[in-house]
Amino acid sequence: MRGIILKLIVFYQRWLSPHRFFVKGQELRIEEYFISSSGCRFWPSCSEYAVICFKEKSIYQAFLSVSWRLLRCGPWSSGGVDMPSIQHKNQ
Amino acid sequence: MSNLFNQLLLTPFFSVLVFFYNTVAFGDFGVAIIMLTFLVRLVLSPLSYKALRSQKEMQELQPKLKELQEKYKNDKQALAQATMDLYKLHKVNPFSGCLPLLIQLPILIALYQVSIKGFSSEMLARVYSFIDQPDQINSISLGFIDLTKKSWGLAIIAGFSQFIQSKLSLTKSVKIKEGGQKDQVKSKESALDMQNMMQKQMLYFFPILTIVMSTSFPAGLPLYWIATTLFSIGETLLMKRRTRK
Repeated sequence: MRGIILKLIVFYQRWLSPHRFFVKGQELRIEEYFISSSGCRFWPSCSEYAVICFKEKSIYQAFLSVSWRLLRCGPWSSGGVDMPSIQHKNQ
Repeated sequence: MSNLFNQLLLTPFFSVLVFFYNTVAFGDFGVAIIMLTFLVRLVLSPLSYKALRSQKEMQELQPKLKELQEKYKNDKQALAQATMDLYKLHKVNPFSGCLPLLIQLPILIALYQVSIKGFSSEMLARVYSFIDQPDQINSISLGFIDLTKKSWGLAIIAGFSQFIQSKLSLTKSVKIKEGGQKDQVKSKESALDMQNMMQKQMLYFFPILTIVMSTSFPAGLPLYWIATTLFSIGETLLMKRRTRK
């Protein structure tokens, strides 16, 4: 299950995300990351955040944290560096 | 949960659609969908406009960004933090976040619901009571598109407009890249070739996916997708023209 979810997220990052034209593994061009077509308010991006969550937390908790992150990701929040808290690690 | 979704999204969307259908769309449900799409995008457009306005300020911050990049070469998190601080200090806030993307989902689900059962009396009973209820909704739009049936023609148009939109956003990002990497271009030529190839693949993938998805849904959905993509294309073109000045 965890593997499928992670594969889906990576699939999204690679083929669908507005950031898909930026190739991973190269040096981080931070201004591109923030300015491009749907510029991120947060760092790491929601999908990277989700990858960390689903790797580190139980699926249920990861789902909750990712949903909460997505809800915060809009003009109503100030953004910034926002790493997932992994103190509730279950497994 | 589904009840909440119906209350919060399906009923309002459908009511607005029926209202448009009754009035400005002259009894054409397809036109009503297009109008609703444009309305939603117009409401969201200040976000894109804000992004455009802060792009100029961003350019002035460019030298400072370069310094930060040099300083935090090996620490992405610190770099992100420092960049954010710099933007905040200069009150630049161009990031719209996931909202423009996420908003698509509930709209698509609502439209899907409307398209598969939208023309039954069960759905019509949902419409707010202060809106006139038509006895029946004509599912034929523009004289030849049946919104409740699948349509290859609309699917292909949706894919094609998606392709143009992808192409527009691609040239934009490549330009930024060229500007930034001028001094290192030679050593990275092969990497850039690889990158170009991958970008080409990505350019075609989304439009093709759009076509495949569109052919499996009632024509109301590709119609929405075409309308929203055309709006994006217009917005991108307008932005390009303004930034050139």
